[in-house]
Amino acid sequence: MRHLGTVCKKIAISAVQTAVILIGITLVTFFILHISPVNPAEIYLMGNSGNVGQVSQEAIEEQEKKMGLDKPFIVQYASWLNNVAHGDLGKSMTTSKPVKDEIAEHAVPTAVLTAVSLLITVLISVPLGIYCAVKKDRALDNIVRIFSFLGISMPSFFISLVLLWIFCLKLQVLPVIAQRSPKGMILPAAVLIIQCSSKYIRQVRAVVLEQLNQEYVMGAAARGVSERDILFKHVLKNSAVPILTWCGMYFGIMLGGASVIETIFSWDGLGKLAVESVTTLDYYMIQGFVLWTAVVFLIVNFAVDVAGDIIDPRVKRGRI
Amino acid sequence: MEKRRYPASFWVLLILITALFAVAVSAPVLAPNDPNKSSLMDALKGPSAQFPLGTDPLGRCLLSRMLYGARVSIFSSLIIIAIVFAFGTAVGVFSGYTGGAADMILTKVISITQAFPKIILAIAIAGVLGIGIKNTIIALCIVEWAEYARMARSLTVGIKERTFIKAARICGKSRIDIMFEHILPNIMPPLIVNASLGIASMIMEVAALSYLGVGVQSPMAEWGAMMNTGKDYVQTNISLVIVPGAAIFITAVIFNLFGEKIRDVLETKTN
Repeated sequence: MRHLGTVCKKIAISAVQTAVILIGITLVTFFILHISPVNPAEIYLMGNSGNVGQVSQEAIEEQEKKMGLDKPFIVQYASWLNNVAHGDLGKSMTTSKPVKDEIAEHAVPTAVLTAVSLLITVLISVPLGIYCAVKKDRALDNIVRIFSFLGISMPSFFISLVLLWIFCLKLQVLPVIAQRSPKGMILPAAVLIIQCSSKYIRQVRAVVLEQLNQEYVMGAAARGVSERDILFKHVLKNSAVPILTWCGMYFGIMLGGASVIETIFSWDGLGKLAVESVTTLDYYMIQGFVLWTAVVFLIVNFAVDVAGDIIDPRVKRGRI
Repeated sequence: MEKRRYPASFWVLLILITALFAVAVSAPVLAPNDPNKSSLMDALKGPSAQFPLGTDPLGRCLLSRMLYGARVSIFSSLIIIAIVFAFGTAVGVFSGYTGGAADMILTKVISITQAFPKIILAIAIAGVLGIGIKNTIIALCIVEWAEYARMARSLTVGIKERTFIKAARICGKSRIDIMFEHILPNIMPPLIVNASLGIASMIMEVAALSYLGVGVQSPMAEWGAMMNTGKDYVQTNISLVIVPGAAIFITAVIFNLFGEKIRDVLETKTN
């Protein structure tokens, strides 16, 4: 029973913390948008046509009233928060569609891209990272190290443009504009995989290497435990939590939408939507997006925590 | 105290970094042309004696722009790293050593900052403050400090119960003295490694913002902004992308190698 009590307490604490973080994030975002020199009512009235100066001052003021922009900052935020609590994220200022629908629609391509890229990243990085740590300084380790090093030294937009040039323009085997097709996904996924694997392989390698240098490995070897058993039963078990944590981190980053990559390949996901909303200062859209990434971030963190508890009981004992 | 041993490769990298700085500082001397002088007659030309790497769509010398771009990219990222390193470390050490309510609040602030979509927040801030290199630096500082604070905090928490800290406390040293004289020197090596490995990624983030059109203001030469211009000419003139891209890549490789070397040196020392 005592155990149940601690679990409940833990859940209550993390619920409060989650609420604090979500309110903090949206409040800051709202504030940044609030101090922006651009008037959202004006943007709303002008729409995409950009007919500058053709909207009368009265119309702008009326629209401000409609959007609640004439009220004090904190009142605006409170009413937005109240709407969110009732499941209403407001309407996009550019398309007039509900923010919820826009995000749901754009989340699909991002989720597909994330699933494919993350799966391949993990399948490449984890075995390769472990192998390189075990066979440190051998030929394959050196080759992998060079490639992952090159990978972390190139910005994503550079890799993207070069791949675009090679495969879409020179070889003409892939479409320039991705659309929502498996063929169009190859390049954005490739860039994501290159970027994340380069980092992930190095992280996995470092963690496994650190464990291999611990004294318990030497002790086990001295007792005659086979190398295989040392690796699989001890070293990998001890490395699992950090490896999993990074995996969760990449998952969160990818689900937030790789803005630069999605923009370059016209992959119509959340990242592209976010960049567009920020450039048009689409208040509610940006708020909705920030809320989405924060929720994803928190859920992923929570999931990694729980998984860590299950894999490594030491973490749990240390915390409770 | 044992003397630190620096391997030869460390000196080679140091020379390369000095060379990068030399290029950045002496861009006005090295550049064959005015980087902002456009002449539509010379637009999109290939390499020639006058324009060794060719010209961009406005007829500006690509080599000169690349050399001038080095100043913006390298110095702005160094400024950002210096600021977030100092600020983040200060917040982290204070939070970790003080503990209690202050620590709880600061940890929440750090979490909130880290939960933001970085690049989007930076774009939003740059959008609000206006486009320009100064605002890019401010935006990236606001986004980046939390990572350094978190690391400094966890390192501080890791050593604050150690005997030598307790001894200093018993001796009646003030909190500030303990933080500066005992905690800081002991957590410095990993923080320095992290910061030096952060330079290259900062160069890429500055470039990414410029690439998205919210970094430097045109006509200022910056590598990301140059690639933004070049992206529309990928089909006909790939060198517009390759030249600034290669500049970012080479700089990032040098800074990353240097960061790893610093790590090796500091880690062998502490071991």
